[in-house]
Amino acid sequence: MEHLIIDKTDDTPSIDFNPTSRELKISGRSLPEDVTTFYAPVLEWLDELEETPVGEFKFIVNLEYFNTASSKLILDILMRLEDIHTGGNNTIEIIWNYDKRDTDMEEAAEEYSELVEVPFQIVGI
Amino acid sequence: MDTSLKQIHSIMNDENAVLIYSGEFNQDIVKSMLSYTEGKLESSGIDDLVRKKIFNVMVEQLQNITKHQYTAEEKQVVQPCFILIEQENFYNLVTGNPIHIDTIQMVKDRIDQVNGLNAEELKALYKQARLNSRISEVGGAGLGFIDVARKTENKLEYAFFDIESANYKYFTLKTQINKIIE
Repeated sequence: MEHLIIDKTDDTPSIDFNPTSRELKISGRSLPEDVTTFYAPVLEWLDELEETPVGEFKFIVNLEYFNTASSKLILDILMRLEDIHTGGNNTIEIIWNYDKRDTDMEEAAEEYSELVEVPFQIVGI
Repeated sequence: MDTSLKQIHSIMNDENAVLIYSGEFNQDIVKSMLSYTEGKLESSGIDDLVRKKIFNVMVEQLQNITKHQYTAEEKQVVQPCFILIEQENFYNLVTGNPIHIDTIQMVKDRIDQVNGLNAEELKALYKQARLNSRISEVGGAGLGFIDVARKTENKLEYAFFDIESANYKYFTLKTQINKIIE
């Protein structure tokens, strides 16, 4: 598995999926015009992970903001993580960090946590 | 709609306009508008949370216009616009864009539905709409209005104005973000 790194831009988040440290990080803002194209390599990487036994992974979210179109893709990613977690090759823990005053983001994280069957920590920082 | 330069000047002078834009909408223009507004709000010493909310709602409103881009026919009629105005206790975000008469009823129904719900009901509707959006692109529409209503915690105000076109009207949507967040 390769180390997937995508640098952040004004309207896309940074992606840092490291198979060695087994930390998968997404940070910043997500409001691209074309969400499907941006997230395609991320979903492909997760497909590969599902087939590859590596071990325990942490999916770490440090998102400041995402638009409605991105919210659908984030759900796709979380569902993919759920498949990986229940698939048997690897385990996943989701850690969703948010600015503790930002109740909109806290609520969004809570709603996601109700939609997927994966250990899910929501941490106000 | 007859918005003269004089009227625009009076808006800019009488009220505290943060940004007024009329013209073409695309992702690059949206990004410029966002970074300009963020810079301006930051230097005004606004509460970070309010700034974030304005950013959130502004993205949805601007991208909504970009996505439902006008056709050549509409283009000749009247341009879309965006206005962000600071008032004493809140910020108003107003968008205007041509809308095909065939979609007016659907937009009206969606906004009326959202306006008729309380916070808990909006949450439930959002969840349902989000799940639907995974199944079909069409069924998932409307998420944006629900999201904006939830974040602003205020009703969405809308109007449809007649313009010189048989097939289009001008749709305006106004949202309000309180300066004090409880």
